[in-house]
Amino acid sequence: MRRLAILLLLGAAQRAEVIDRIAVTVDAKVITESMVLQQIRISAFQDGRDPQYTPEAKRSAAATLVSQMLLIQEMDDARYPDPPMADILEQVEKLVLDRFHTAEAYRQALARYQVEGQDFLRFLQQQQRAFNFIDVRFRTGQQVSSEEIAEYYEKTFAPDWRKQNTGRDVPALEEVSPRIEELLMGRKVDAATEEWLKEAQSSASIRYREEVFQ
Amino acid sequence: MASRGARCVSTLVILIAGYRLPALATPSEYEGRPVSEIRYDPPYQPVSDAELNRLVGIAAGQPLSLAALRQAIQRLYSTGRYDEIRADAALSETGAVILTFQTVQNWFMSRISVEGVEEPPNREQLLSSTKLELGTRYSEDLMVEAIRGLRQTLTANGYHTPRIQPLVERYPEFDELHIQFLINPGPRAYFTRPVITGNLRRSEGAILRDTAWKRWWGLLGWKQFTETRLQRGLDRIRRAYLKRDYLLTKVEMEDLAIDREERLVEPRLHIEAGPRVQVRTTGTKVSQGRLKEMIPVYQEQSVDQDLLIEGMRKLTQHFQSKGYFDTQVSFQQEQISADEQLIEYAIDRGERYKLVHLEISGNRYFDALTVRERMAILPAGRFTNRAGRFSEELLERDKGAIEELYRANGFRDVRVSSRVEKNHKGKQQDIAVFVEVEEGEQWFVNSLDISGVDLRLYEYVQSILTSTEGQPYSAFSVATDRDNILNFYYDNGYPDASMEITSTPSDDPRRMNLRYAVSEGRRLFVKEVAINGLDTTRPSLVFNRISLEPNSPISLTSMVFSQRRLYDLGIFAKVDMATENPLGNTREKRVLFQFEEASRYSFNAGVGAEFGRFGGSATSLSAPAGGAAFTPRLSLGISRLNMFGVGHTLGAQGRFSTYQKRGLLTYLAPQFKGRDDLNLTLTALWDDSRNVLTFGSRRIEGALQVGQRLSRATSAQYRLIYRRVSTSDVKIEPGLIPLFSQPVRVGLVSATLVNDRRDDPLNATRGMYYSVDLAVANRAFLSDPSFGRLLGRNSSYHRVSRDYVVSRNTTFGWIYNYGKPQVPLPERFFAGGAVSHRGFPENQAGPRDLATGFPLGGRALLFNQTELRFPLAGNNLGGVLFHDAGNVYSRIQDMNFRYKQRDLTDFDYMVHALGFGVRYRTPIGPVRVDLAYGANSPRFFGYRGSLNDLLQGNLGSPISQRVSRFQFHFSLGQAF
Repeated sequence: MRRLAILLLLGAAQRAEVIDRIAVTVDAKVITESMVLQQIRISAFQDGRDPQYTPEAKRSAAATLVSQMLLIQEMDDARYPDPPMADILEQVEKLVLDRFHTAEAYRQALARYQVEGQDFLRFLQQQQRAFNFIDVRFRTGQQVSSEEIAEYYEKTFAPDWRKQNTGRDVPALEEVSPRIEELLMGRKVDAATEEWLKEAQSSASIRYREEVFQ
Repeated sequence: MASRGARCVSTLVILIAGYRLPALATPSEYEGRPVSEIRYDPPYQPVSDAELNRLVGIAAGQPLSLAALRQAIQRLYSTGRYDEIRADAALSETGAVILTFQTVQNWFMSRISVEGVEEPPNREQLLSSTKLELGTRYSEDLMVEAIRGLRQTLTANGYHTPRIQPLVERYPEFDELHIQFLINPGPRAYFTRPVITGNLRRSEGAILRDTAWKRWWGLLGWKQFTETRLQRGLDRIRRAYLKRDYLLTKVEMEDLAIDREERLVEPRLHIEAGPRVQVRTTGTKVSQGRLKEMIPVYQEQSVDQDLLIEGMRKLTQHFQSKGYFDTQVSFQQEQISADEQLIEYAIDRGERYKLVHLEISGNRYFDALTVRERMAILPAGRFTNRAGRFSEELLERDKGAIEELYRANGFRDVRVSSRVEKNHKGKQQDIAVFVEVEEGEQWFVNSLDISGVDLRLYEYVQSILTSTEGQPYSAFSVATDRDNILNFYYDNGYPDASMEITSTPSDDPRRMNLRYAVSEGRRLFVKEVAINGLDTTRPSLVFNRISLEPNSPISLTSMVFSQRRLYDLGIFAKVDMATENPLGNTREKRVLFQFEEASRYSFNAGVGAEFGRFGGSATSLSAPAGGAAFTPRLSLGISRLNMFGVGHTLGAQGRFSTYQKRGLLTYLAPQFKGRDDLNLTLTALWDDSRNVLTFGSRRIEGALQVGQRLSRATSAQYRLIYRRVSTSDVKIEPGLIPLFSQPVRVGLVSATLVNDRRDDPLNATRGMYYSVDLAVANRAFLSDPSFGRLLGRNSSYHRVSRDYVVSRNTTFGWIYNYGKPQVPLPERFFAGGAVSHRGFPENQAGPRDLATGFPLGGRALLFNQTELRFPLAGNNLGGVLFHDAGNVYSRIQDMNFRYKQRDLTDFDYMVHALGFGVRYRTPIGPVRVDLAYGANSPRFFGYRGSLNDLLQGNLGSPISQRVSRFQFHFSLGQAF
């Protein structure tokens, strides 16, 4: 075994390997290939699935990082604060209890995914900051009218209910109105965020290095 | 076995498919191992070694951290100097990591030029179509786009087979490159008969004529195709429809069919004429011209509710400005037939009022005059605005302006209300406006806390603030402070400076605590200044005028100032400037200047005419006071710019008329010796003129002048002049000819000091102007006659009310003859006319020859002019009442204020003239017509006979004559 390790080392000494490189540039900012891979690992860890390193997965992770970068820039410009780390630790505790049951299992899972605990915390913190910011920035000014709620109730909610609950009465509009309003508001916020992202992407100079995504 | 083997294969497939290994080396293999060496490939890096070490931030011996490596890549890329960065790792024999940064550097465009195209398109349009920006990063993609842009612009101008050859010249020492597009545009295409479709309502022939795309109405075929001609043609079609009341016509350019073989372009137009739209008014008449100005339907070529309402608003404003303050306008739109629409504005003007009284009360902090200055409403005047200027909209705007004035001075709670009183003082059509100001309490700054400012700049930053402790507090002042601070930072190399302002009420009443938190950000410095594009100009000339030094902060103000100085040389058609790698995060940057030299030759020619009382032939003695005459005038000039590449100009100018022939050669050195305040002029002049009726004068003159600007208002000129002066056809008593009209050489040293504090030199309404000119002619300067000459002028302008200006001008002159011979005729003072004394024709003031009555000039002069300038009608027509007094005197001892002429040989008395004038304002100054009445204009003896009779000593019989009491002057510019 020891002999094998020495042989491997000597083999490595004869050739240089790429350990990181530019994958995408957003104006003067860089997303390196190692950041893309880390994004894949962290999201896979968060979702509890195996990381995929296909070109498509890498491109998708890079696109997520580009959006994050634009959003972080916007938040920094607006001096939007980070959420307190205590809140993030609370989230992690809940995750540990729900999914891993013990801290040791959580740590082992992180190691399996090659994710540093601090990196994951930082990822969660930025994610929460983005959620909060989107809520403040894109929810403000959005309104859901009673006509829209009624229209959704008539055209979507009631038919779906009837399909899924045959024979049962459809709940009254007043009863489900707050839930529908929240749903429609969420859609509007998403649409506004998407719209903003599209605009930010079109005004930034974004360049993907195709060789990284082969 | 078979089943086990199959399971292994499927697992492998899943692994390969779902877990494809990244191209990246496994991080853990290298992470944490010590770094033994850092290499760069290629060895040349576009930043210095020290900067490189700082940016990479990984030292040999340290364990490798991927996070640190990421940061290193980010920092290197942020410099803007790299296009690609890759980090390779290899293990040394000791197991340490050899880290290699594989880089591809960026190149920056420091010159972009286009050659070979005959206009249009011009060079500027071509350069702009490349979308390449000076100083920015070069890439192949940008070049592809640039060539595409050039091709589009050339095609749009009829060049359909252009060959574009981009030449890229690299300068590795600066990481820069020059791009030159060599274009062979090929032949330009011609228009051919357009295809016109749609509902035209006019004949194709008429539309075709409108386009003006044919040469000589088709006799010479079609014109060459250019974008401008195409657009002009389309505009002409639109205008022609508009003229015929087709206000909604749509003229669309659907396609351009290009025949490259035949070099023809066939425009395909689609025209929808739409219905005829009549716009008319009821209730009162409005001219069609006025309607077209006010109803935006005409300009926008569409009819919608917003445009109709806008028209209604403009009509209301128009009538309110005429005094119909109750004007009500409504409109209706009617479809008369399928092809005809009617838009009818119903106007009810109501009574015509007159704003006779405007009263402002409650104002304690500002006086009424200061408040009135902010207001647009205006009480009726005696001559202009006879109904005053008033409308509800204007009044609301004025109230806002007054509130703004107060708020800017700390009155946060100011309220302005108004009351309009009709039937003021029982007069039905008089109205009065009462404006009441409730000032409220004034707020002050209690404390100002400034943070984030470099201590070395602190004192200066404090000095430019207005919201300091104890000063009135207002949002406006705070915003001004913010602008001042940020502008200061931007001008001192801090492009990212930002500032946060917080204001909180203090514990003391009506006091605010202010906090300015400045974030200075990075500071940029000039690495060096690079210039490109000079062909004949010497680089030293340019460098001397660029006020940016290496290691100095990059200041936009200095760059703009340098650009202005370079343009002031008058030798550049274009001066572009940029900082190289503007987005890169490097501390020092090269500042690039790109020049396009102007054409070196310029020609000018002019034809004109002169009218005036300068008539009378060279041999006739019949009109010593001048007769009305006309002369054509022709002028020709040529200039050669940028002589010897040092920005000097050589010019030759000729002027020819019946009364003057003149040739002038000038050599001008602006910004002499690199100084903005100095200029040098050398002139050679040949002049043969009869602008004084008494004689013809011929001058050959050489002069050297240094002009100096001493301050914004004050300038001086120092001159050395040599001239040879001779006279001909002298119409004076023969005995005097040897005394006054011998050819002489005059050598003069002179200096002029000018102080000009007028608000507008062409049409001053306030301020002061004075000039003093002192000249000495002496044998020491090789002059035949010895004399000194002093000429001083002082003018002042006083605004006595909003539209009335009183102005005055005094001119004093004295020639002191301290040797022999006598001062020759052309050197004596001749005056009178449009700019000195309007009671006289040109150069007719002062002593006259006792035998012939022709002006002799004098050795002293004194004039005083007073004017009242006032508006006559509208904004452009004004009137003047004036009084001119003074004369040219024989000697200074003879100067006096006497009104009466003692006898026909006495000319040393003060002539007075009263008059009235009209001024019409134009962009080049007012056009002036003056009519003067000189009650005590001089009488004199004229000569009955010819010049020959006079020269033969036949003095004949004198006849009494007089300078006409009425004088008429037509000229450009105010009298003074």
